[in-house]
Amino acid sequence: MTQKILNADIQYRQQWMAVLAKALWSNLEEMWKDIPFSSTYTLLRKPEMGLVMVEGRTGGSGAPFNLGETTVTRCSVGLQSGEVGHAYIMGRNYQHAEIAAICDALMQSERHDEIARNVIDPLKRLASAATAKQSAKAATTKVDFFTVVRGEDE
Amino acid sequence: MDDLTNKASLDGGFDDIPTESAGVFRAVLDAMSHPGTMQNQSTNLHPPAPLSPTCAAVILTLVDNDTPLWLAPELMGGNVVQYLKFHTGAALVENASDAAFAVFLASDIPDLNQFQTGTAEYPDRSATMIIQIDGHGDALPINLTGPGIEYKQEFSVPGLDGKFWRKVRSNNSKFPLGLDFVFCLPEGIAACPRSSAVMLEETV
Repeated sequence: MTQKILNADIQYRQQWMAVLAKALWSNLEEMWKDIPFSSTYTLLRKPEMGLVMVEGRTGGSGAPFNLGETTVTRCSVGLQSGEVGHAYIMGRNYQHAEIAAICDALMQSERHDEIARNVIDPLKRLASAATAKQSAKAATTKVDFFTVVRGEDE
Repeated sequence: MDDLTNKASLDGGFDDIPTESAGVFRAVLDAMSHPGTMQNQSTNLHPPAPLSPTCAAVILTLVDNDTPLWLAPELMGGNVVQYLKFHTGAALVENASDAAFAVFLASDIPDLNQFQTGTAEYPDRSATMIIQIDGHGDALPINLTGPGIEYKQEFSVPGLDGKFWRKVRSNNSKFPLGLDFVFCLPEGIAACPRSSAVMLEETV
């Protein structure tokens, strides 16, 4: 496997892991309810909570500073078929972390297309709709500054 | 496989991390404070071969992402690396002088001079040797004296010979600098901290 293909694979997985992590639990729960999943799996790492320091930057070029700590829950599962799924989510929802890890594992199995269609894509749509709504709301507060050209620049 | 996608290499950690690792920590603490005594320790870990359950228990308890880990070449193969990376989050170092913990087998002792023994200002910046004992080989009886021992403590570890104990003796003569040794036997944990004076039978 060349480095390039590997990177593309990693990027693709990063995408779906991000979708699962950022999804609202209520949405993920809704999607997951309809997924037939009965196979047994091992909790390689039980859902566990910890603190992570969030770093921010002032502007695009500012020095990083510590914004504050946030709780993060992580979980790793192994399916019977051998796939291993990991999840790191913000907050303390153990169930969310576990389901996200199972989805990550299933996305690597032969059920990839099914999970992508029924879980990842709908979550992605919901997320972009929420972002669009937020941006639209923010856009109404945008102020355009008009100045009368005084001819000094000529 | 290089990434963490191999189930076989990740399974077999502690079931109940806080309770079990606290138990192992207590055993290591007792072993360190009573040098040369065996602290019986059973564990339900299933680490990948050739790592032994006791040795894995000590590593999973003591090592985390703040403590660079050095592994003997015999342990670098197979699934051991993935297992330890997943369960401890530790960075594996190639350079022995960067290590806070070193793990090796009694059958193949590396050059101990390459590890950090601390500095006069910071004697704590030294490495701890975690040695996996598989129970084979002759056990040379030695005597330990020093803190934590009332008179003298008789001690022996299968597979560790006079050559090894002479190295430990010279290491411990550098106290307060020096390496600490934790021995992971199939039945439990024993230790020889740098504060113990090692007396070989031949010199008694």
